[in-house]
Amino acid sequence: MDLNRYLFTSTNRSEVLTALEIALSTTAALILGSSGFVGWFSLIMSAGGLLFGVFLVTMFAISLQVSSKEKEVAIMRALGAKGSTILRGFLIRLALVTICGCLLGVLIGYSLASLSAECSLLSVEAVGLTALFSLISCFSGGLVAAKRVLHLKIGEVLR
Amino acid sequence: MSDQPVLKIENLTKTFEMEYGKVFLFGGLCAEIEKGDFAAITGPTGVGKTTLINIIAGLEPPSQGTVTVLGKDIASMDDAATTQFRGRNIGIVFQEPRLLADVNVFENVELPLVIQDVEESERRDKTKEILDFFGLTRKASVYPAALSAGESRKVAIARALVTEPHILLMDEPTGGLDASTINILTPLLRGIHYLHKGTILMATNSLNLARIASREVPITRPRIMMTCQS
Repeated sequence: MDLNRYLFTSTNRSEVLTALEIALSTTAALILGSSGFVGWFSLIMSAGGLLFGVFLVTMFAISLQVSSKEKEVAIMRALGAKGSTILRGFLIRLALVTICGCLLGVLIGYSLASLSAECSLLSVEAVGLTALFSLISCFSGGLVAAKRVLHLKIGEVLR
Repeated sequence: MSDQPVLKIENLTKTFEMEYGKVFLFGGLCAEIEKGDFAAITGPTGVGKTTLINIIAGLEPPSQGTVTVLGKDIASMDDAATTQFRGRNIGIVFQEPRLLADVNVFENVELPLVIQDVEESERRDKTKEILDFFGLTRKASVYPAALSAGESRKVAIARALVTEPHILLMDEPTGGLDASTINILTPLLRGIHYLHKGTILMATNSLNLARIASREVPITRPRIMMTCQS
């Protein structure tokens, strides 16, 4: 069932901004994570903080997206579309935004870190871990927000 | 199933908590609607006609009583089952047309069939057929923003009928329209009942519109229980 074309007809500006925000945070986390000039504890705290920030940003962005599509979701649910089907649509979109943002962040972060002499800890493992944590943070943030479509009070929204 | 009424409402009450106290709608409403009936839910604004339509469609739960649609107690089903049941058996026309603004008329009407996973060629044929019936073929590629109020209503009714539901629920189908548009829509609604052959339930506060229905379900004024302020 291709309901996505009804929900997402064009690229949403907020999605582009979210992807850029994810890219920026991933870049910062990667550079910070591969820098040798701070101690391990502060390094973990800073990179962790950035990734928690990206969790909140994604949660907020997806929450806004769900709110802006509330009427469309309610109409579809009233016409017989399952909540899980609509949630899947949001999650596919979220996955695309998250993957694009993380890839862009890793590319920029790796390029900048390679050029800098300070980033002595730059390695494939560091890049992989940053990308993985970034993906998990973003996706879980988005999932928390997107699950709202399952609990939408259709009758109230359509009044 | 054949002997059962299509819709059976027993002792229905809906309660709303307000700042000033509790509002009791319907006052234990009982009604039975048979297959092929065209019933008008009547009553002034604020008596709960929209709430009743929402309860019958499974969009809101009742506070007390039962609503049995096609032999099934709609409030006892879980969310997924209610949604599936509604999609297969009930067509809804909301008070506002509630069309999706980013897709054209054809896609709006086709939407319930997309949700039901109907094969594309069958979907297209059914959508074309119903657009033709409503005289909307030339508007198929037009977006809702470019439609008149009457055309939007027609699209909303076409969308509700495209799956050939057993029950068609219409909430104020002529509400907020000018007299000339109402004059066009009223015979159309009568025609729909003749051709649809299913059961139609229409909420309206217009006595003229209620006259085209074969029976009436009047709703009494809500009972309000004020909270004592100490």
